[in-house]
Amino acid sequence: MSTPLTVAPAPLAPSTDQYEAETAELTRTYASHGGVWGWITSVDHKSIGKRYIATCFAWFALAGVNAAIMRLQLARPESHIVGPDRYNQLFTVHGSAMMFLFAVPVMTAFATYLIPLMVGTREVAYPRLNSFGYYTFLIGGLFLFVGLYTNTGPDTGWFAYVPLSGPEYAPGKRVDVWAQVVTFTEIAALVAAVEMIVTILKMRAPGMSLNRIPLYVWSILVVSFMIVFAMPSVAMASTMMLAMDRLVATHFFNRAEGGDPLLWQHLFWFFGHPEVYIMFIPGLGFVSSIIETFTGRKIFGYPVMVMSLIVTGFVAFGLWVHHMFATPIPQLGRTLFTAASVLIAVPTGAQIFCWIATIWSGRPRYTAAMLFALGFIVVFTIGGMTGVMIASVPFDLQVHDTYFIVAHFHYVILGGVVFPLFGACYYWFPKITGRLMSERLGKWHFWLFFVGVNVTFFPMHLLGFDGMPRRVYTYLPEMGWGRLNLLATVGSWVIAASVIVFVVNVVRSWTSGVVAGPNPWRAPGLEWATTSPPPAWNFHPVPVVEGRAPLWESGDELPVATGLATDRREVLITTALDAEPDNRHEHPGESHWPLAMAIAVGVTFIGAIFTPWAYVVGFALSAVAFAGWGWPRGTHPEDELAPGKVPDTRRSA
Amino acid sequence: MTQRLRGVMDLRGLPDVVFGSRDIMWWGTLGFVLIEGFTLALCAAAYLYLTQNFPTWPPQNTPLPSVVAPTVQVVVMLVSLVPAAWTSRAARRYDLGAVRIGLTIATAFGIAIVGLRAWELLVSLNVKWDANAYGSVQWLVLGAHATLLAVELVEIAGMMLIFWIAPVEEKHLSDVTDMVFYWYFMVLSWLPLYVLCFWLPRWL
Amino acid sequence: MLLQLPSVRGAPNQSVLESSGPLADRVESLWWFALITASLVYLVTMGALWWAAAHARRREQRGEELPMDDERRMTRGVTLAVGATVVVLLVFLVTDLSVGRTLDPVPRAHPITIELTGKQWWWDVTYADTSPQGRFTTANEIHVPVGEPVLFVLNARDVIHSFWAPNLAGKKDLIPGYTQSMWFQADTAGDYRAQCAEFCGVQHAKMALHVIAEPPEKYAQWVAAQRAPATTASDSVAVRGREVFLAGQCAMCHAITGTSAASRNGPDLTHVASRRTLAAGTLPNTRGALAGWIVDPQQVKPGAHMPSNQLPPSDLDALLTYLQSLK
Repeated sequence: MSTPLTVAPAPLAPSTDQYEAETAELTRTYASHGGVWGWITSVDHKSIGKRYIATCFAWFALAGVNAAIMRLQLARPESHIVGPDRYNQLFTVHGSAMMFLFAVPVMTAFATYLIPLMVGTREVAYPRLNSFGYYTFLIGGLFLFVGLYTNTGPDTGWFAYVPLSGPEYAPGKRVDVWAQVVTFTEIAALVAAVEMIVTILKMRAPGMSLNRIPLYVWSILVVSFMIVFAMPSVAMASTMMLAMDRLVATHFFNRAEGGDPLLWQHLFWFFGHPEVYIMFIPGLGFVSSIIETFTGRKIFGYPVMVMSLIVTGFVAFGLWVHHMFATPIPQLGRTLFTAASVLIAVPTGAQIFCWIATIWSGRPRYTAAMLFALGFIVVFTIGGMTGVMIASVPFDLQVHDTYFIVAHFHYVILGGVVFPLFGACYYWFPKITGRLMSERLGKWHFWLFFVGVNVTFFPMHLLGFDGMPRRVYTYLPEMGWGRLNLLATVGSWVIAASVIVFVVNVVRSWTSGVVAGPNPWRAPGLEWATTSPPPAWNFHPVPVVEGRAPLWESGDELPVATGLATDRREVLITTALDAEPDNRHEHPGESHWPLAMAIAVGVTFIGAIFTPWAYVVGFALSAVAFAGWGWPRGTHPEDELAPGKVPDTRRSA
Repeated sequence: MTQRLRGVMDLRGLPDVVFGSRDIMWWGTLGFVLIEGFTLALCAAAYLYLTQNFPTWPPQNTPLPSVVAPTVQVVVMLVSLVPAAWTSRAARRYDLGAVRIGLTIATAFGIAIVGLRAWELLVSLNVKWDANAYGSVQWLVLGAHATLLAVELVEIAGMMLIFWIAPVEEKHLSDVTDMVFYWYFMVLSWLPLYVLCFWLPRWL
Repeated sequence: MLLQLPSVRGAPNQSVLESSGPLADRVESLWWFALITASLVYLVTMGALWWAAAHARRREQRGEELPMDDERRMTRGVTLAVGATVVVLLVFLVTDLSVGRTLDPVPRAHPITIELTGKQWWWDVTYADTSPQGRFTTANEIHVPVGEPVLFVLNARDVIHSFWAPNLAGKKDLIPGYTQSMWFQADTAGDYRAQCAEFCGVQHAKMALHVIAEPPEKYAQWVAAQRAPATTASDSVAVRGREVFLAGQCAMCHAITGTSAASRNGPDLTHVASRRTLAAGTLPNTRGALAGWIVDPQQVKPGAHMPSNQLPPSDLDALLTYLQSLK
């Protein structure tokens, strides 16, 4: 369908008076209810993004406390700080929370805040769905930790292998808590993925064609597509198969009745391996943003960077069997999966080389954000190297399920997720709060974290070689693992100290940091073209993009498109490839129905731990929430469709 | 804003009601079609995986499923595509009366199809979910698709009510066409699953 | 290097880096090759990062702008680096696959075959034989002759376990309902420790197994001893102990050949006194440890399926004497 030329060049920018009148009207249009009710009913992506980020960091802290207790327990042999039953809950909840409640959703959280700003629009595609996703996620996280603190924490590992997690060997409700937490977080992740895909493909500022999208936005686009194809696998396996085996005695994994424990492993890792890339690809996007700004030049090799992200996204689905080398897998399969696991290092390597070239040809400024971006390269590369090694079947069979693997993936995740994430905090904090974080504390934070990570996790490589398996609550003194474990425990204290420095920095800077202004870093992205923090409507008038680094290229005059309504929450929809203006879409206002829907979903899945009838009740409750959500409010009589009205050719275009 | 603004285009003339892939609600529908379609494909993959564990499918002493009700259902589903397409065209014409009638017919079809699905589960399958892994996975595939059908029925019925009694806005016409698009997905995704659940046991 | 610092290293009898057989040996060489390659690549990459930063700083200090044709140099540099990465990875892949190919086939037609079954949280060991009399069962301790390949048939009774003796070979999962096999060969005599590597529940940490590699003559003696029925209790204390064993809870789970106790729920105790450890590699096999384990196993291994046994002191003493006579 060709787009008729409905956009006429407007030679004149709005006059100051008109601009102020429009801003006043936008303030009324985007007014919140205020107070707690305003917070509950808010559909503003920035409000939701902020609480999403804060919630993720809260789970990070709680899961980190689990880790600290585990490190204390392992600091010496035959320690009795916690017993095996408690320890197994601690490590399961640590892993599950870090994966399902922190590493993936914190990327969603940042994207929720940043993506509309970075593509130059006023909102995400479906604001109420966004709010629903957040509440669902919140319920899931609360459920997991309430479970842990009431001695009902899952205790069969974050991978919940059957038959250990099945009805026979895991009676009680612990594994059910795990299965439903997975359900909640996967619903939230899938909702956010659709949200991001449509926001990025259909709501970009005019002129932001695909070859001008910021690399971070590309990374979120790739990851969102990966979520769409990865998450259904674990959601199905946990909600529809494991939970049903436990609740209504189906036999999906029961070997005696023709079920298959390996089916669980296939479904879990078909999700679980892409999950690793889902976590760190947004990290690569953060690093690109930070390096671009702090070298003052566009990232070298943009097409290579984009292709690398896309290739990684595809190949990530061809690696899952390398978690299953110790199970009966045909030889040919093993070879293919080894080859894919080795070669996936190439695109990431290419990106690292492009960043190095960017630094070489730029003017690097070593801010805290930049240090974290560089720390990412230094730490993550080690994890990448060991990752290539364990693609080898014979080598993997030696180190699989040992502390070598623990070391490997902490280098990958802390290097690939947490370093870029901290960098992103320093980088975008001024946009979110309007104030800069302390650089001095930031550098303390960086160096403590850098040292802590290496002291904690490097010795674990060696422990793995010397035979220490994962997921053991203690070990015998004669195994000789005490000294390196003690060292790792000391390292964990350094990490804890660095996180405390970070929290202090956030709190102090939020209240009394230096006022940042719209663009404190002289950055090129559209998110810096509005005030810090941005108004509820982000942009007015909406920006127009003429190159890959809009603010560097536009000089002191920002090209804009005028004419978007100010008396309703209107957003501009553009074409998917070239981002040409196509139509205007009205967004809904504040609503409490997303929370109602999340509660209905919460009742359903928490109730389903106890009785299958919860699905019936939950379905009815959800239908009610659905009706409340969708029922027309009739706020604009002029939009109403009267009987016999014919299509307005101008409006339907 | 500190930067000066240079107006380069005016958006006032753009339409605010559009249909099909120009509308972002269509894209959202597509997103959920992808997710749910892939989930159903994974259910089918799990089904095929589990067939390997049995020398015969269905296992010994488990009766074959009946194909009568499922075949009737498939026919009803295919027939329902005609009024669905008609409703979609009526919506694009802004023909409120026709859309009302179309949605009412669609709701009737929806109720019939969900009813037939309940019959399939309880009668045609001839196996309970806890009999063996065969029974479990039969219920998984039918149940997963049935859940989507039930949710869609609520949506269709809700939309019908909106069109009869609520202040209908022009944008709801676009929503009707997206719903029809989703209905096509519901019907087309069922065809391979129908063959899988009701005919494959006869061939294996 | 840190790796060479023995003072921080773990015990050498459960280590990948102290290989004592051909399989573990090849993997260890593969590891050293991988480590050297990876270290070089890492150092070069970090060096390039350092050099890039230094170069940028020098140019900034001199106030120079980047000449336009430097983009071509950068393209060339990145292309070369990516090319080199691909080459290194392919070399690694080929090396790895060639090592992998040599590991799978068992190099003998009729090797010694051991059926190893994982149970929560101990190892059931049966030596297969062509004649039923030749078969015998023990637990948590495997003896193998030096220089001979040994085939393992792996299974699990309850949940997934994984058999891993790092000095000898990589691990293999024991999956209920699946039968897998693996083999290894010990080249030097020694007491190698193996440990369950797949998380298997509350006492996953205390599920170990000793693999004792000994000269063929010694191995043959051990086999002969294990095939023999249990020692008959001779002195009165041991006879009393046997009565305690058979009348109490013990016989409900444990087997001793030649007596009426034949349950396979717990480890076979026919020659329990000949073993080096108790409770799946958790305790040394001493009288005191045995007493503690019998009376209060939950103290040693919380969650283990062995119930506590509050025996009168004289009964306990007799039981210990009996069990310790089962050489």
